[in-house]
Amino acid sequence: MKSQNDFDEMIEAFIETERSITANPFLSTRIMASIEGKKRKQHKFYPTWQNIAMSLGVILAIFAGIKAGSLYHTSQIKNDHATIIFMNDDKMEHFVFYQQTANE
Amino acid sequence: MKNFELIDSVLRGNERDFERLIRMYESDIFRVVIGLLHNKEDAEEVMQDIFLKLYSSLSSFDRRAAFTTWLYRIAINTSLNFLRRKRNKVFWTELKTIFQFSSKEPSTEAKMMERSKHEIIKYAINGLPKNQRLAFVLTKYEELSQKKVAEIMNTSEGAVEQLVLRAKNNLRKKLSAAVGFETVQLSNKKMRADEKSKRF
Repeated sequence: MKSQNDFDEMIEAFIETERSITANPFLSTRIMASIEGKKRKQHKFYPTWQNIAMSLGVILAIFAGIKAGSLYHTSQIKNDHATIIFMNDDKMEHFVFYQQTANE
Repeated sequence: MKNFELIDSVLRGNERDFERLIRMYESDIFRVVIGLLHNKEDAEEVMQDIFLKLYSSLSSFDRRAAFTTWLYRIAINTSLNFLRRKRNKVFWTELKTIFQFSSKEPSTEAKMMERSKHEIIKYAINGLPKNQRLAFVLTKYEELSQKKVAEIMNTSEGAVEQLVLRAKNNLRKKLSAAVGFETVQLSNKKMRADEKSKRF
């Protein structure tokens, strides 16, 4: 049967064993490196307002692109129409020519 | 350089001084962390978390309290949080070690005996109520004065004395129950071995 002193000795011995464990000598370097890493990570992250601004910018760019595309389309149609209207038809035979009986 | 001067210097952006701060306190904090976790790898991981927390909250340090008291509190909270998070992981690690020791190496039994003794004490310490465990670790592992422990635990010196006494008594009780059980187990094992040798 173990006495109270035996248990105390057991505990003391265990504590001494654990107290003799030392930390890695490069622990401080590791900690400093992880602080650096964390800082770099923080730099990579943008604040919320920047994210919102970025999203709005992308949406605006897409909208502007669509708008520009549709503008181009309508002007093309208008241009075609203008070509018809302002076509130089001086050199064309006049239709009147066929209507005049004298020339039949 | 004193603590406050070092802190001011770190807050001004001098990171070299933070490294000095780490070197000044790492062994003290490590002893407390190992007393709570009983595992070197885990303790080193937690040490990293503790000093990262310290670095990020250095500006909020209230200078009315001692720096070491504050640091010990961060260390204790971080270690207890780690224990809470890693409870399942610890279970699997322990299971692994049990299977490792079931191999038939010649010195396995001796190793197992020594290991099991340590495991029993470890479990007994871990099984103590939180306040008793903290008071015990701070006075026994870190050998802090009762006054300092009371400051860290935000209680009176008398309460700390009581907590340590109760912790010791509880440990003795737990160990007598566990070691008694172990002794019975070993004697049974020996009896079975003797019976086997008589038969052949």
